[in-house]
Amino acid sequence: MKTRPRFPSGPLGGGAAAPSVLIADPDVATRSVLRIVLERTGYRTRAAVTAAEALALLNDRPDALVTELVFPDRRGLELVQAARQADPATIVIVLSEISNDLAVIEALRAGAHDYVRKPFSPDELVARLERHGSRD
Amino acid sequence: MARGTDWIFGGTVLASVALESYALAALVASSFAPMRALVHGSPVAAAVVRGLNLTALNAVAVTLIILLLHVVTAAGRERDGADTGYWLEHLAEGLVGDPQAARPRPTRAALEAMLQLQDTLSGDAGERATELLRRSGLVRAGALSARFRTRFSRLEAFEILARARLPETLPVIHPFLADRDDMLRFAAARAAARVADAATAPDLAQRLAGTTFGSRAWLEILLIARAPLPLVRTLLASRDPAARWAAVEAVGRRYLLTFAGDVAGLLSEDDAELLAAALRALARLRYPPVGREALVLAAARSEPDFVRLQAVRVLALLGGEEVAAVLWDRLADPSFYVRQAAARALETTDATLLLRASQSHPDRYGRAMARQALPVAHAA
Repeated sequence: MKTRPRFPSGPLGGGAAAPSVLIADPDVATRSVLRIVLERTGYRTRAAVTAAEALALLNDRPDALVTELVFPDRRGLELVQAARQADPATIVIVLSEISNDLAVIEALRAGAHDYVRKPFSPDELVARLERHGSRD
Repeated sequence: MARGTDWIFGGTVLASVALESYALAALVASSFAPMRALVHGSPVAAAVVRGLNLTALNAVAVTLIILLLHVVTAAGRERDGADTGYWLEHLAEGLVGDPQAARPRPTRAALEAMLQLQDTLSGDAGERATELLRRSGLVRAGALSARFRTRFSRLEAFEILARARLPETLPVIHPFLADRDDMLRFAAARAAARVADAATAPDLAQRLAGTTFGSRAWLEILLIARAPLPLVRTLLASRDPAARWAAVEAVGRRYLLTFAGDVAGLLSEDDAELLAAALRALARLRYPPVGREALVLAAARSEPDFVRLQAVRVLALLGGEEVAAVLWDRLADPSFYVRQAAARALETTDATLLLRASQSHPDRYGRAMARQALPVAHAA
């Protein structure tokens, strides 16, 4: 099991390899925004449109997963659980259009570190990612 | 672009149709062999053969046209998606990265991308997305199409205006709130409800006060309204039963606690639908109608059963001996749903009585329902 990565607070200054974030979301606008804002902050990103695609990309052991709960092929909760089982050090943030309390509770119980509702502020999401990533 | 599999599919369909056409022609020709012998070498035979050939060619041509349309439509859809994707990347770069990058062109794809980004972003980036939409002039173009074009393009324009949520576009929608075309009027009201913010919603409520819709249409408008309070207030005071019912229902569904007192004031209504909606709203808000307990108790014994059901749910918010007695009675209600609600209400108001009901209620269905509602520990 690898150690939890140190996430950048602001653009990376070089040296250490940039932490990788897997973006799993069927919505193209969300994927575009996340990719741009995360890469500008210093992360490497990969994107998946379906849950099955995301599950396959989890084999690359990303440092963090930002995922929707609603996918056309299966439930996003399965992805949350799979990511945590594959590597407990992976930071999992759910970014979802579902806003009810039950979904939040289920996601946190499944192992998500945080839950952000859509529409979302990209700066806030990056700050949350950094906060969870910088914890030992 | 069409995929390789599309061409294979198209080719297979084409070949099948051509073969079927000629097989049919051969079948017709062989079936009329005696006739063919009679007319052999005559102009009639030649005409029949030409007719068969023409029919087969027509079938092939029609199939070709359908396949071409399919390919063109698919390619158009793919091109639109690619254009929107390009603009999404370009505009997102401007909104969360380099502000100079966000310069949309007045195209359909750019508008779609802006609307998607506005739906996606909140906070500072969300405000920048709204500002971008405002400055683009694209919404103004959509507004113009609402004024001058066909019914379809007007409906489409309302949808765009609703998604853009720019209050300054409301004057474009206002004239259609009194349109004679029911569909246009409803689409305009839906769009206006989504666009009107806290500042413009009171004016919209006044404009809609004189409009007539069915109860479900009103409810939909209220459920999607961005700032629903003024419209709910107006409709609660309306004389139109459909509008009042929708307003009461919306109070419960949108958890508008501000109007709980107004809804409780409707418990003396004679209209069963309205009374049930008021009781349902109070139960959803978990608002005990203090001072009106007698009305709820009366409703719990009244007809029809859907009123009793909602009344029993409100009784769960109250307490006391009289409530317990009515809930005991309702365990023997002819309606399964009322019995179920009564058992659940007893579970929260008087668990001891529920336990007793599970053992000694005179009605066997009441006893069974009470047993089902018992907490696990008691049931064991």
